Amino acid sequence: MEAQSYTAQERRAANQVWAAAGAYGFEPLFLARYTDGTTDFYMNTVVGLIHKYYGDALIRSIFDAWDGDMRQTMLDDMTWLYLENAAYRLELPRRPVLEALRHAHADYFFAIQYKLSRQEWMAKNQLVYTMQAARWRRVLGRADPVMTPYESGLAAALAPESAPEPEQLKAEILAVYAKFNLFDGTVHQKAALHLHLDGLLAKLATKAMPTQMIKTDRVTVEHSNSVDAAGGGLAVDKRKAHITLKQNAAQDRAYIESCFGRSIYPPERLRKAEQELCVGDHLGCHLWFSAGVPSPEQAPTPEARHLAEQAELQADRNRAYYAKNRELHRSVVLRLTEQIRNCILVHQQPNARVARSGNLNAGRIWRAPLLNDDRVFLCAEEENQPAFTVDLLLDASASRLHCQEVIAAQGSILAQSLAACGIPVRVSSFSSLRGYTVLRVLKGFADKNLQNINRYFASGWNRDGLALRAAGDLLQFAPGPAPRHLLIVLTDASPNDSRRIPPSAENPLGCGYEDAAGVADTAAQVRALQRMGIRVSAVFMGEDSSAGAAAQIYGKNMARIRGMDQLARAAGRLIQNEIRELGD
Amino acid sequence: MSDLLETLRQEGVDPALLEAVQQYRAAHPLAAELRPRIPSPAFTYYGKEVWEQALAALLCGENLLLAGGKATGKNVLAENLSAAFGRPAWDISFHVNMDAASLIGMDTFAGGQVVFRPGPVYRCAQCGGFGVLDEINMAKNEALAVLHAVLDFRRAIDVPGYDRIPLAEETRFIATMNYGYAGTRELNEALTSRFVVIQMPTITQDNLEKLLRAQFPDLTAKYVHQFALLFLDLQKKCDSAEISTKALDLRGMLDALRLIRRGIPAGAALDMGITNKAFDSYEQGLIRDVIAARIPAKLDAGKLFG
Repeated sequence: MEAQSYTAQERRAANQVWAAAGAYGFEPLFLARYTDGTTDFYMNTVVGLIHKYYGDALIRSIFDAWDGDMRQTMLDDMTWLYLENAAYRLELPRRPVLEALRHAHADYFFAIQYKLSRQEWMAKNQLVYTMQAARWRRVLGRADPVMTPYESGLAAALAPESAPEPEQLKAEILAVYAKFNLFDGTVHQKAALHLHLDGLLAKLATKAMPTQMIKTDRVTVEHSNSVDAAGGGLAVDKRKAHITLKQNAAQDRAYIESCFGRSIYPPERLRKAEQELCVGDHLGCHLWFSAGVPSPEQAPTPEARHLAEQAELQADRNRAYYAKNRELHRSVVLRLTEQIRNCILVHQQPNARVARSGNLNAGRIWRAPLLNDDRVFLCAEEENQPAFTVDLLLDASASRLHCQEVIAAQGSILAQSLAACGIPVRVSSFSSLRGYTVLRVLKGFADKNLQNINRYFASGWNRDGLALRAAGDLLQFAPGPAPRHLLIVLTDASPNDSRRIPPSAENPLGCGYEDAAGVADTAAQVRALQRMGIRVSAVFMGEDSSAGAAAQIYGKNMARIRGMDQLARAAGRLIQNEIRELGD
Repeated sequence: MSDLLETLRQEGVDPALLEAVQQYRAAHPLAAELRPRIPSPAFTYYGKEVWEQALAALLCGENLLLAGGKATGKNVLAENLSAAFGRPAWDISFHVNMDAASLIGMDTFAGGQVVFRPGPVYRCAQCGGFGVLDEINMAKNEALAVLHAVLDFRRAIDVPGYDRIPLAEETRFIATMNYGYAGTRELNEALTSRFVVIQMPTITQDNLEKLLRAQFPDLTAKYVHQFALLFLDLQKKCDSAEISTKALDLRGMLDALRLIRRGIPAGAALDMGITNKAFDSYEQGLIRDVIAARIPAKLDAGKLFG
């Protein structure tokens, strides 16, 4: 499933579309923005009105008619001129302000001309520009620009006196384009150049050209944009993984340490954890608890140095993404903080405090006549100690490559909100490489600095069951300042690791750590943690086919999200449930 | 017939119910010192069905629970009901630290003695008033348990160590609650069963326009329509959780109209009445967009009021 995440400006544009449409249950097909990146309020209103009057299916089918055609961009622009006219005529009687908005839009069209760069002018299609200029000059009450009879005819055809009925809309538009020889109903594609290479040439090309490899047992840090979102989790390369696994254990350990830094567990404690946790389905696996990637200067090997540099670049990208959408993020933080704080206020168990009015405290009554102390009552006092800690455990396997920046931002949002409410929060990420399940603590309970959450990057596999065991162990190793614990896992409910489940009495051949076996193991770990008194909830974002697995693993303690930008809110809801259950 | 009852008659509320209310008022005269407590509502609640249900319930001696979202008119209706029945009202706003003592009364220390200071529920019960229990689900359920005997067939308040006070016959309680609102909790079954519940509908466009016309008789028809639609647009945005409910403020919209009449341009007036109530600048941007899609920022009193 593609992650539908909006930036601040996109969300605002989408809101303009939804408000005009009077409906919020759809993803806008188009969002209008000016060349400077700000939202085009009038055209977004038009997009919303078109949804309201014609529906998405019809509009999609119209734009699909010339999808891939050489003149697609031009036809798209012309069609929006046509639709703008239709929307305006249909809505004006119901929304008189549209006239002023249209006028302002036309004003802006001419005002911005002086600010366009040469490249922007060159990118403009001359015919489209003439049509737009004619439309907006007419709106402003000015004379038409100088046009050929063909252009005059087209301008008139794009602005019919009455808006067509839905069933006629597509035919009308296609008829206009056919009449003016813009589109004959058949898509004429620009011939693409395809090269098929094999043998030595293919090897050479894969060295020289960008390639994509999603899951391997080698740590790589990829830019989110370089990864096809739909491909996440599909392009797995277990063959390569097995080759790597045959290397000896000391090398693997050195590799993991060089990539993720020293373990925060002392060696003895780490050995004990591995002895206790790497049993059963995880026999032969290893654990690593780290607090981050070493800096490039500290990296012991060239490969580790490269990784550290790439990780720093990703951290920069995460920071840049957060900063770019700072306004939207701050807004989410404020609302989440308010909701959680409200919930705490409602459900906290107040302590009693000595006061001058309230419930009479018989044990103190002697103080009134003898000491002239009238504080002989008890009143409720707000509780200041946190009742529980929150551990946010982020899946950092390569299936998250396409949305690393959003995950880092959402982690920061949640951490900020909880910190503001006085709830201790730890943010960690997990992934598995070469049989090691690595838990990276990005922000500990005591860390005031939230910047480190931006060091999140995705790489490798996800052995969810072992990661959950490790998270449980980390809670014993560093339990934080409150007695109860809530563990929130961001998951796609598709456990998948290169290291197989070893043969056992029930399963003499062993099997891959994936699908039903992985899900069953993860579900068992969730139950085990619950028995330890840790509450486990999940924010699920993944394929529809994994929804059943998510329900099997996490039961009712799960919130499904469609876009990674909903992570903080979903986690907020889970936290509020926890507060309610603690209080009642 | 009082002005309010006359308005209700014009709204088509069942005349038999209105007649019964008249008879109730005549049968239960009020002491002069309590008359100032009868509310004189600034707004009228519009909604024929809800009126009929509420009047019937109170005439039957039931307590009412009005459940609904923000700006559905719960408090306006509660106030209107007290006025319609001509009873003194006690407004009791619930909060998270509400306890039994703040409702019934508490011991206090005066002149070297512990004395009982009556709370609003106690006073309301003594005087046969209408107690408006505002946002009842903000309080903890254990604090509300003290109301059980007040609200059910026992109709009495029993304060430990003091006399048992029977409720005056005219006493009714009207509770309001905003279900699912951040900071509220589930109302427990024992308490809910002591009320008849009216699920308050969101205000309709027609009723909104009636309200606007009643408050601003000179507002032009075109803008009565647009302001009503603006409110509904904001409501949709709140329902879809794109903005918080802070901006869904009918009072604020009426205030903005008053400001425009005083010479403030529409953009600034609506900022003051609605937009600025959300203190977050991003949310303000979203709210301004909704307003801009209905009301021109430069609109002034001359064009708005005919």
